[in-house]
Amino acid sequence: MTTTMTASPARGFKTFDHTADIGLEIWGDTFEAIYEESAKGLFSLMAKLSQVEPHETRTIELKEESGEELLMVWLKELLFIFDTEHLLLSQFQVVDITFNHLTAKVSGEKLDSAKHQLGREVKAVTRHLFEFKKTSSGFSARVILDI
Amino acid sequence: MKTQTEVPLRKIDDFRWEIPRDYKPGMRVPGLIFADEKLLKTLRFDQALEQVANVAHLPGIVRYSLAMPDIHWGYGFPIGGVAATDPDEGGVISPGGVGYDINCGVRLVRTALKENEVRPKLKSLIATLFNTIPCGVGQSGDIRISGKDRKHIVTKGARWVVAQGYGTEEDLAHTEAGGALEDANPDAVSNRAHERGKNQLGTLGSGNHFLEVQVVDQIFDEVLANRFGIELNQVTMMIHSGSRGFGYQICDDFLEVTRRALTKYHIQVPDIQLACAPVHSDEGKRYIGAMRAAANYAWANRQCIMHLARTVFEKVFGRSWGDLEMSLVYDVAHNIAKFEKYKIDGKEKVLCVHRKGATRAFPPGHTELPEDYREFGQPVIIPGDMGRNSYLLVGTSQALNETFGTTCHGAGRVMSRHQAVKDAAGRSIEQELEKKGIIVMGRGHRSIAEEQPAAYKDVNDVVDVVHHAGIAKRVARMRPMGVIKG
Repeated sequence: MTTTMTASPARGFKTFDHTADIGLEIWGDTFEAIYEESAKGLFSLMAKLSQVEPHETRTIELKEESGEELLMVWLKELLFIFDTEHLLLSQFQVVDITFNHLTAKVSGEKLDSAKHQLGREVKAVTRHLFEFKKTSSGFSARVILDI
Repeated sequence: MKTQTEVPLRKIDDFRWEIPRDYKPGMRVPGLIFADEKLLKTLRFDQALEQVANVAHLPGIVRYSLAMPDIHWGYGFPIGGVAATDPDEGGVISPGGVGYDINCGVRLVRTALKENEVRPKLKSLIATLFNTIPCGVGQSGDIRISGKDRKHIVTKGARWVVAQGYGTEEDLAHTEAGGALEDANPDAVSNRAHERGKNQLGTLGSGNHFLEVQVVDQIFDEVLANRFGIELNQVTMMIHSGSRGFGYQICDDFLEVTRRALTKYHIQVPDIQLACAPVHSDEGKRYIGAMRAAANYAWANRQCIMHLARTVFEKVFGRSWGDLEMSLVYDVAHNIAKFEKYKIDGKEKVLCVHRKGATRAFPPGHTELPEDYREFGQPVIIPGDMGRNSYLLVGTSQALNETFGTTCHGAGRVMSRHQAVKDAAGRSIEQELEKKGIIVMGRGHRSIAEEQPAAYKDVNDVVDVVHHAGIAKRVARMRPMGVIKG
């Protein structure tokens, strides 16, 4: 069931149901788009992204054995930043990417429950039904988040 | 993916269904599901039964891959799944068989208060609880853990919290495992787990976690209720939380470790989320040590939350919590793996029992029970949804003999989160519940909509099955008066 959709047809994400939890389907015409859209998808579950201003920026650098692993580790890293620093992120820019290496700039601001309408607590990024593949129009990915 | 209709079920009796071992070539044991016809219908639309069959593939699994009547689709293991493995027969431990929220569990606290004494102050009580106990996304607790204390919390659990003055020896006696598992290994815990856990002690969290003020509305067993200090119209409090980010990270870390171990130990599993390692292997031992650390963190967490709640009652009712007789009835783990002794084919064995959304339910006389309860059996706490009921049950010999001393853990979701929000569109769940006399406070309407009563199976149906199957016995039923949610 589609509930959230971003505007551009070339790239975006939507959420889908998985009994107690929530899945993300991500698509994009470029490799970068998958990383950026998946990050938006993750944080859109936790807060209303339009309310999050880009006051603080972090640079993230990751290296993994494959693009699939890189996507998994990327989402885990972002969740870790939120959980330990309470930094809500809303803007994501992949600066440099190869098939197994990623540098990205991410921006957002500290969580403020008076300002931000909060959503759900994401416990973990799971491997359940996890997928990252090439499609005729670019790439697509699927990941289920434990709520 | 197969649907439930394709998973063969053989009816054993009105409450027991078997998935034959020959359903899949890799199954080492049959599946055994506790359910009645009505609950079986709710399983038709997801993969939970398939997951019961998948769990039966685990090396060293003994007798059955079990499922409780509140079973639903999880990762690898179904939620409501139970599996015992024999470490001496190559038995494995699986982080997915415990889950992300290690030692998510529930405790029941009694009070000397009656419903009519609490009702006039209910709104202020719930509001003060909500403002005192951190809950919801990204909320920190007031109890910060220094580097030095980290080790104490993960090795001593609730015992450390009580030693700091936040509770009593009786609290510990009435907590499963005395509030701490021995042989937790702090060195097996990653820095990331410590980082995620350091500000979250004494926080409720989000999702299905809650603190509920309840009233006892039915007694099924007068004698046992009396022994557990429970009577009609009495106000009780239930706390449902776990090991927070600390446990989530440990599960995540060890799913990776065990995923890599599969090749090393030549283990084949039908689902990567069933990744596991032999109990006796280095990877298995490290996970067990880290899991115990998270279990101890969770017991410490629930003890801290109970302490905060006791101070709120003191403030609102102007009496000490001792005077309000706010003693802990019992605290049980819902997501855990424990080493327990069972007689298998006449021989005593120490088995590794995975309980993933299931509750230990030991019978009268069991040596692991506190002295004051030993004669009567273990209290089993079953939370329901926020509009209907919760239960106090007691463990039985039938459970010990048939389900490795295990019973159900709650209602189990029946509606997805999106469905629940859609279902609640244009309605105010808070107002609907208030009309029924239940005050709900949460961080957001959305999370309350997602957790609305209709999103869950009726816990009364679930408890009926375990009671009639004999794997726990009804003692008392509570209904909610007020709830705080993340």
